[in-house]
Amino acid sequence: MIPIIFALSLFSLNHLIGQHIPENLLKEIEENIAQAKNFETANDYNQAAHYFNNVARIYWVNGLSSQAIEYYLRTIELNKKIGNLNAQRVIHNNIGMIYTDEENYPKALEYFKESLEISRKMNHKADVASTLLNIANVQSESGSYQDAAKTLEEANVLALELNDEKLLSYCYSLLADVFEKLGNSEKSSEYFSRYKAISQKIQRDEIRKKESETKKIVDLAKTQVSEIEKARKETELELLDNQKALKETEENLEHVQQLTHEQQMQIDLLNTEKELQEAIIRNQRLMRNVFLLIIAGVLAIATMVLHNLNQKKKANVMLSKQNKEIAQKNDLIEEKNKDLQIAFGKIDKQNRDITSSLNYAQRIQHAMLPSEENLRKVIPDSFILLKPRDIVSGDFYWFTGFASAKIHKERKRENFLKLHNVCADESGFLITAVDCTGHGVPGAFMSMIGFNLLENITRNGKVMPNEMLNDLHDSIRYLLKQQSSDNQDGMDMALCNIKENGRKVLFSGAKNPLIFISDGEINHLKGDPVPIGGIQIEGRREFTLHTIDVKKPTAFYIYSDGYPDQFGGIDGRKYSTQKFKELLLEIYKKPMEEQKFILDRKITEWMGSRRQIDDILVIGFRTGMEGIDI
Amino acid sequence: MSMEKFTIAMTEDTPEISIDYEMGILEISGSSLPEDSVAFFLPIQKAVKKYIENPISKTIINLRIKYLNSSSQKRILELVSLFHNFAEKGLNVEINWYYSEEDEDMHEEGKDFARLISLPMNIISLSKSF
Repeated sequence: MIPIIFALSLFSLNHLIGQHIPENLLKEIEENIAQAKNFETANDYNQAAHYFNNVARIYWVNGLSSQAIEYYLRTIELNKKIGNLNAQRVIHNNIGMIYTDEENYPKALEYFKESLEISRKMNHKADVASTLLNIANVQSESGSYQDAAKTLEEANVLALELNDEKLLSYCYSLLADVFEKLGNSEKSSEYFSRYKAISQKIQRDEIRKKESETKKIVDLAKTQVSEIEKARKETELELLDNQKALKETEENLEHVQQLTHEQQMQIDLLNTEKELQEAIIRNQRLMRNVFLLIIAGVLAIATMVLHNLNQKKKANVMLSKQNKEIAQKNDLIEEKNKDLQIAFGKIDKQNRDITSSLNYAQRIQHAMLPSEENLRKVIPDSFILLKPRDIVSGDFYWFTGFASAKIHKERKRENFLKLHNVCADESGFLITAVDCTGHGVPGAFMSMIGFNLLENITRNGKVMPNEMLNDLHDSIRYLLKQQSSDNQDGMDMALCNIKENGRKVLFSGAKNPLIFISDGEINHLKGDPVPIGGIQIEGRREFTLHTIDVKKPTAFYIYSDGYPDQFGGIDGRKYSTQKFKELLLEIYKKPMEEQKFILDRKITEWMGSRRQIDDILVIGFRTGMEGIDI
Repeated sequence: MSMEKFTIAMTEDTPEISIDYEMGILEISGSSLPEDSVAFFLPIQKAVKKYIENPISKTIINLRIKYLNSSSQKRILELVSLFHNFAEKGLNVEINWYYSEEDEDMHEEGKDFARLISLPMNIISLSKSF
């Protein structure tokens, strides 16, 4: 009824017999194959399938898995021809078991799933449930505990619906196992206690069944005894009849003695004596047979009664052993729970320590980053949306105004960096959105390096975005010793230099683009496809400089891939660059501060209950109109 | 022959990995965003190096990636780079980058990836989400 139980007994058989096939079985296989082939040529696929199935089964039982599978596959083909769905289901299931035995779990899964498909098609719920259990077993064996749990939950619903106790008990025991593996001890022990309850009930029912069977056997024996008694009485009666007949014969003899010739009388007498002798022997035989029959009957009854008593005793011993095991397991679970509680306490403390440490680190990172307010002092219509995935961020932004000493003095740019090593009329505003390898602590480490290097490169008089990226790449490779080690860390970024009161924007990108929109027209300016830092197969990394003349009010956006890559929506898809661009095109005319709010709300909605997968950074600014003094 | 296949099952954060030593196929499928990509890819790198010690004449690398964080991209780049001198050894390597038709970002990612390796790579669009 339940394939798993069937399968388990076969597995142990396999190990006992191994790979050896006795002579007579080989002959049996040959005969079956010959029969199958005959029927196949005669187009009797039903019979052919029957004989191939025999062959497969013999191989399976004798531990020759690959041959067994080979013939099962042939059987499937034939059953497909005659449209025998049930046979296909059973054989797929058998192959699944063979593969499970072989520990080839992907294959086992493939066949169990096919079997499941057929069971569903046939709408046979008990088969669906037991196949699901087989699948869950394989998933659990191969370490896919999440999948196994999901499968088991489906099986559980079905088993409950069917009210099939054996399915339920197996289901609960697997669920307890799987949740233990998943570290969910609460659920695990819940399922274990359900398993315990139902398996005890099954055992009780089985004992009751055995008792009633024993009673039946005793009743049968009683009937047999009474039948034997009856037969004995009948034999006794017959014996009496015979004695009576004998007496009559004797009387007849006397009568004949008187009436016939002496010789004839003697002959008759002899004959009668012979008959008499034979009758006595017959009677003796009959008596002996009856006696033997009675002894045999009594022996049979005694054996049956003893056997049943023994069985019952065995069952009782097993039950008490199992009960003991269950109690031991309970103790173990309790002990484990205690250990878990202690471990949980430790983890909780560690977690709090780490969080405190991260919170402090976050203060340092915040102190380093310039404020959005300072950006608005230079570019009033602008925003910075930074949503770190963890407490500290691997995405960071950086901006600074700069001016030659001359312009610094003449145009009173107090907040701008005074540079002595640039042309006399050089002035501009640098802004960048940077996505470091990793997020959290490793990302934050990288961000500290990147932030400092950008500051240094600028102070050294490099203000062209492409040159800055070249320098940054070389510096990262130098600092992280990437020439000689296999370190690959680095950053993706988009860097702008805004000049001429915002009428000109210079841009270079390492993997990241610049998006700008004016008059309903969106431009996506891709950066170079290579990152800052990491593997370098070219001789020297040279980034490309792009120049944009800004003749009318234009909204510019630079960002990390955290926003477009965020999983969400109904089916967990990525938000996508496409959708991100559509959103920007829809809102670009609104004040930048409002856009920040919309972008934040949209991505939070998209995420729903899903977690954020990476840091998110979007920077927007509008230039190309009056009121910007750079 | 003790190791015909190396496999790691897919999780929420890490892709399914399979290396078939007999067939010479390396496959990476799913999303890759482990917290510590170096630790996750280290055993895979070992397994690939083991394959490279004793490769078959034609190796196929199938990348079916839904999402890749930047550090995972670097790790996969390292894996693929292990095959850089196969052509010199007279061995054939085929690299396939599969992306779902509607996922333009993974298409772009594939193009960028191709530029960072010294081996030719096929970029193949799949009509169905994989």
